[in-house]
Amino acid sequence: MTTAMTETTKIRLADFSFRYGKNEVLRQISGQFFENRLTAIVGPSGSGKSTLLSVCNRLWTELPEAKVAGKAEIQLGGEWRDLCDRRAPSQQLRRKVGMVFQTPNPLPMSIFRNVAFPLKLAGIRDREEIAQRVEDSLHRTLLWDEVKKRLDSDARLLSGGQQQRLCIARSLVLEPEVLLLDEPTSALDRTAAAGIEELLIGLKKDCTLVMVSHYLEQVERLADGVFEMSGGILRRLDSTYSR
Amino acid sequence: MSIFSRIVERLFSLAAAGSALLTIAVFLLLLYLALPLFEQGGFWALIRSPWDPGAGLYGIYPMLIGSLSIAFLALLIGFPLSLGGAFFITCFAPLFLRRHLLNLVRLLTGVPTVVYSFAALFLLVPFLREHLTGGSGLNILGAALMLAVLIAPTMIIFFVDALRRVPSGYLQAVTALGGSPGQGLVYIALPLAWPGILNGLLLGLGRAMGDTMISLMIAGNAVALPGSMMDSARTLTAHIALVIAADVSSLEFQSIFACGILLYLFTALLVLMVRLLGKFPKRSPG
Repeated sequence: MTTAMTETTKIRLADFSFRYGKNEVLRQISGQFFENRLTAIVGPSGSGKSTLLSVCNRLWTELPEAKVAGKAEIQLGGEWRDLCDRRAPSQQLRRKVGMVFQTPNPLPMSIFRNVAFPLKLAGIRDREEIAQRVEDSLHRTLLWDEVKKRLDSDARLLSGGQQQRLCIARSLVLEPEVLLLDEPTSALDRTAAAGIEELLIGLKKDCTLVMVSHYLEQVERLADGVFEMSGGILRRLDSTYSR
Repeated sequence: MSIFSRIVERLFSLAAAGSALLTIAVFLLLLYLALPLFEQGGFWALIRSPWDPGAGLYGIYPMLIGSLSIAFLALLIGFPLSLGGAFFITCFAPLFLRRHLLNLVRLLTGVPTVVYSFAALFLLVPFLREHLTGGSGLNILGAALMLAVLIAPTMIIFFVDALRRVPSGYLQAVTALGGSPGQGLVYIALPLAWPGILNGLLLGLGRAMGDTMISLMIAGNAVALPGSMMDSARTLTAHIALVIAADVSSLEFQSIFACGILLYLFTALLVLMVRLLGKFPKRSPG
């Protein structure tokens, strides 16, 4: 990776370890994820990739048996935040560090309400602003034309690919600085996956993306940097992915 | 299907039919035994008349009002307590504590009501007498407070079960979007869990209506129509227990069967409502 030194670091890890009960999931890992880049993490199942994502938006603090050591920080709004502090408030941070799960998880409500829901959680009440931001978000995820006439329909009736784009739209409505993607296309067919890939490429200009993926071809197409996770060890792969 | 399977199926069918027939038989028996009272003035007259055996009046209206006021007041006190308890166990308590708390609640459902009654008689009643109600301290408020404690564990178990049935993926999504546990509860879990919560509420009401010991020991057992929650009252169940202990043949004795019929119908209505609730479509949150 030739450009690493000139780019702005968004997330940095130094000798970071993560333990769940007696199981050491991440072992003294170090690395940096750069701003406005898509960094991919590859590796076998159970190697700790998703755990690393859960560290980046402090979802790990919801696991009472989880313990961390070392250093993990994220830069939000020009300020470095500690990801290891269990007691630090996480809600604001999570609004700036979106998460998209492997299986699309639309909430049991309409398409519009799904996308507007994070705004409701954030205490935004202005209906016009909400409507505008929902529309913008659906445009960004290339979903608007497909759903604009049925915004009141149950989101769970959308196809798998549409549901995943809806979940991305739901995260984007908060204008996050970082978007974490946990195998976002693994539950989708080839066409739907291609749609998500196209979307992710477009998102890089506004967002830092960290994506866990099993598909090396996909990583090659999308990623600017690649890490391999194996047995809780994070290793940067020599690559030509920098773009 | 093998012969063994057929025999087992028949046996189970017979057992189910037997249970249903037994329930119907109990109702018919109650009707038969209350017949002399019905012949005097009809069922509706009976449940609207006052209780005055000296004047030949065996109405159970005061007991019906006593039962309803104690049961609904207990529900009014017990419901928010139970919902709060269920929220705490489901969402807010430290994980290691949740299991222990739920086990404790399960244990409380098995405590005999006479134990609750004794606790109320020696702790709650003197407190009410000295600080709140005056008089003997045996009144609707005391009975309702203790009944609320009695029905709370049953309701908590139902509420926790209903809340736990909410798919964890939804709550995980709320957390990942920057929502607090409280927001997940209010915006997602409650709207999805409300049929189960209502079930628990109805069963709590049924338990409060059907309880004998607490109302017998704490409510004061006055057969007059209560005017406020500081008054003594006699419930249908307490009336049955009191009359059956002193009489076995008079018209007064036969009034207990009318009480039984009312309790039976009330319970049947609650069970019917619980069954109907199960058929309602789930409300969408958000």
